[in-house]
Amino acid sequence: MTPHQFAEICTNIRNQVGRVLLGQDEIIDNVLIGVLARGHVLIEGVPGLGKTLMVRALAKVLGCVAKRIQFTPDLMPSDVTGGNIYNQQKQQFEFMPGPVFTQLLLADEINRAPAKTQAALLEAMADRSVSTDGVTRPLPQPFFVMATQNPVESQGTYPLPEAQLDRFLMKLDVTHPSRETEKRLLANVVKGFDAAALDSVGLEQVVTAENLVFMQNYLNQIRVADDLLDYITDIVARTRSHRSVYLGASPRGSIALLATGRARAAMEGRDFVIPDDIKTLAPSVLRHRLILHPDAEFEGTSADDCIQTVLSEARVPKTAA
Amino acid sequence: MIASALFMLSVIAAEPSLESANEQTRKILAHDNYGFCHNPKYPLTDNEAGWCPPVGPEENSRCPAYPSACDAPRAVLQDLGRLNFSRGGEGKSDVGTDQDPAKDDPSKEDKPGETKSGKRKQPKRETYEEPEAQMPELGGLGYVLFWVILGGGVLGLIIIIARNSSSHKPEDETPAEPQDADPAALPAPAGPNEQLVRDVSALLDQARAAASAGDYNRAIQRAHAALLHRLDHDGLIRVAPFRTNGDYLRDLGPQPDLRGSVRQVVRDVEQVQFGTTPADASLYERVIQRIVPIVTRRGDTLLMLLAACSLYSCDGHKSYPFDRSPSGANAVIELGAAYNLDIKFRTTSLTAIDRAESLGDHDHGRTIVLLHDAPEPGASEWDRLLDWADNGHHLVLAGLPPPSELNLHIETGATTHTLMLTADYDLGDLGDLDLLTADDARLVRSDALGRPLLRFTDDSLYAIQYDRGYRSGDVTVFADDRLFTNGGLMLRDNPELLVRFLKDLGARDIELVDGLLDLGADTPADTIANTHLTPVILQVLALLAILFFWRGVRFGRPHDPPTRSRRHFSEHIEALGTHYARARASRHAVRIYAGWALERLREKTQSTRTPGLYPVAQAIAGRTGDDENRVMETLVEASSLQGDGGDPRIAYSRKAIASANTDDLKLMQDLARLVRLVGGPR
Repeated sequence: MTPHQFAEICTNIRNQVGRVLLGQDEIIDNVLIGVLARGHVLIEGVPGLGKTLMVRALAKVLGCVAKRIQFTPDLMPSDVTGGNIYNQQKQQFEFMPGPVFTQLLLADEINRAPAKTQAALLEAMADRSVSTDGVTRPLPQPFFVMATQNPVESQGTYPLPEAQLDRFLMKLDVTHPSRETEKRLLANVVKGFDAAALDSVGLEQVVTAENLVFMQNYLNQIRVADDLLDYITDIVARTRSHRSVYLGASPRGSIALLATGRARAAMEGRDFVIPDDIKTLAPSVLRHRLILHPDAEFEGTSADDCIQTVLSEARVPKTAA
Repeated sequence: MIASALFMLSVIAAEPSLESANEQTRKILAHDNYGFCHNPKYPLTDNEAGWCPPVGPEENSRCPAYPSACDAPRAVLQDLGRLNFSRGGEGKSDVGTDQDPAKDDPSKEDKPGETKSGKRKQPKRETYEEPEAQMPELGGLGYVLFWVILGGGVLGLIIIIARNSSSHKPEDETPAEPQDADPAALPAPAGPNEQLVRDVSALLDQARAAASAGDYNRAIQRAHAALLHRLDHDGLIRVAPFRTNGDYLRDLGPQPDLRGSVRQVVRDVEQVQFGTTPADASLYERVIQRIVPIVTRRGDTLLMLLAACSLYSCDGHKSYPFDRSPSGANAVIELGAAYNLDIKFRTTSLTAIDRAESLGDHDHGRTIVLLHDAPEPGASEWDRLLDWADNGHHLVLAGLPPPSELNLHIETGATTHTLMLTADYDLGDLGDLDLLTADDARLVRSDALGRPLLRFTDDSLYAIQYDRGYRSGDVTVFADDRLFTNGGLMLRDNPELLVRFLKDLGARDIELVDGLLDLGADTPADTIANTHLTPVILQVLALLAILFFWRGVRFGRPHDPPTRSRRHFSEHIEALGTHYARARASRHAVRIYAGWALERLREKTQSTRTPGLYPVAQAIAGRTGDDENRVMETLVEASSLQGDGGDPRIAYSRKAIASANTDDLKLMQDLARLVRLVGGPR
């Protein structure tokens, strides 16, 4: 596979998903980056912005199996991972796989479930396997979790612990579409578009799950110059010493920045990473990994503000300035 | 005294003889600025053409081109407002045909320079030369303030320009984090020389030099830097160490064509910088061929724009300063200067003349010459002027209708242009001066007062002098002002007569009054029009508009707004309150406040050693007159909160939350009131 072919495939995927998800090109790109980089994506946005639709469309285009879990306060870990159930006919316990045994998993409103249920996803997300009753079962390949949470309501929620947040490759903020986009969306509905009947749209499968795994492996061939490793290290190091940041990004953050940078480079038909890949993706990759000082939060400082400050101080390698 | 005498002697020694005034004038008029003496196609006005008959077709030694100019097309006078300054210039071949006033003007049958009414037409000015600016009389403090403000303004501008030009951070910006100073955290700079070079042509030269040396990697980098700095200079992008090529491309979003070109360059450069493509001659050629058109195109556009602005300001033909035209008086001033006569145009109103003005150090007084187009004084001004002359000064009326007191008036009708000195005019043993004037204006007096100085050869009077007062003051009336103009100096012995006349008056300080006096502007628009700077102002405004569209509201290098390192305490409290409100944590807030308030109330009522709330309530009620039970209720409610460890995230219903917030606020207000009544928090 050449970089050009890789980019062409990604363009086709984008175009197909973009047919049903209007005005969310950046989100589609970032989710695709997350998929290619073998990561998981946390999407923060109010309900009704098409998150479920995107996962379903993405699953169809990527030729993957998709499942959805609606997280609620009474959701149990076994409801996610599955569990051993006694089979009276066979007189033995049998493992009934939970919805996590899929390729694309939409964990809707993940912060509605208590910590122990959220923790059930930890192993799945990190090790791509599930352990129940002492038995570890691998998850199908590829495995991708897209979790969502609502930024508005905080009553009855369980904020994700930092350990779990760190396991998400990216955190994306979804906002309302523009007026023009919303009008186009309505026009599509008038023409008969039904999000529930996705098959009627005629989405084409662009790749298979095997192709997708191959593309994930291809990213290892993307060259990263030594200067760029310095640039990544510099950015991450600066998050740790920023005066408004209590806890900066972990080394996992550096690795995530590198992996997403490679994915973006490949999607743009390059076999090498450039500083713009890193700088563009830094907010999405780092924002959920920073814990701010309480006084900074009181002052209205956000993680994105800190990252922008860091990016405006980190010197880009081989710049002309 | 000795020094003064030596000075006078040196002045006298440096002054040419009066007999050489004509030669002095020849030298003065020999200067190219006096175009009417050197340019055969000089466009004369009708009034100036009045000199043509006396000059005759023969060559004039001081103004050799004047006879030819008499045959050239007349000037096209443009009415530009009250001042009428503009005169069409050389090379307008059509002016003598279609626009020649002599053909179209009803007064063309009159003698040159005369209207049918008998009053000479106002000489129109070609261009206006600003009089020397003079500071108004501000007084000591005002003078100091003026210069302090002016100096401060200039200094401020310099500081602002220097700040905008420099790329350092604002002073009030938060200082860099300690790790910023760690050189290990930053990539090593390419070298001091390369860091500093921002000149585009120098960068391109470096690129070519590196390419010729075979260092294509460096050549491509330098060429890329040249491109970025050109775009930065044009205000299309903002180059900074923390910005990527992608940032620059996003800056170029509004210009898709340019963006596409730059994107191609960037791809090639990044392939070398971060990819595996080796830098070679072909890649360098490709990069440089894409960069050079972009780099040169931006500058060319700006240059063409500036050139267009400059060209617009040029009217395409030569203009002639009024003061150096035949109607002007610059040669008179220069001639006077050669003879130590300080001749200048008066800039303050005649109403400012002091009747009792002193005669100066040498008791010679001053001389004021009212030219033909000077503002005609009113009755009170005439009184003032004559009183001033009575006090020992010298008033000369050159073509201006004299005051009625002199029983004298001007009329036309002289049959000759040749003048001669009268026997009453004692200018020494001069012999016969050969004098000429252009007009036929003559003086007619109703009495025999006054001493005739000059008369025409037909015996009509041209100049009369009246002695005034007892301090050698006088008023001299000329039938016209021709002898006080540049044109008058080009003929015969007129220069010598002028110098002798002015020297004979005795005053060294001579002021000419012409039509510009009191010609102030009524409106700001008039002021701009009078300055004749409208094209310049329009160009400046156009430049500002260009800068605005180029750079935005701020023309300097953009800076982030200054950030405060510390916030006010009240802002922290406000942020805290907002945060509590957002978290619906009013119960938490009231619990903390209630604990604090109970402590204060115990202290103020000195009930710290007495257990229970009742003694506190009793003391408060006794001190404030409030109902004891009501106070007790408030205290009990506050006290009950101390054991309430409820989670602020308890899921209240919306109605319950609103009700709880209201109750919490009321309790806090009640407690605050009690604290205030017992003496405040301190």
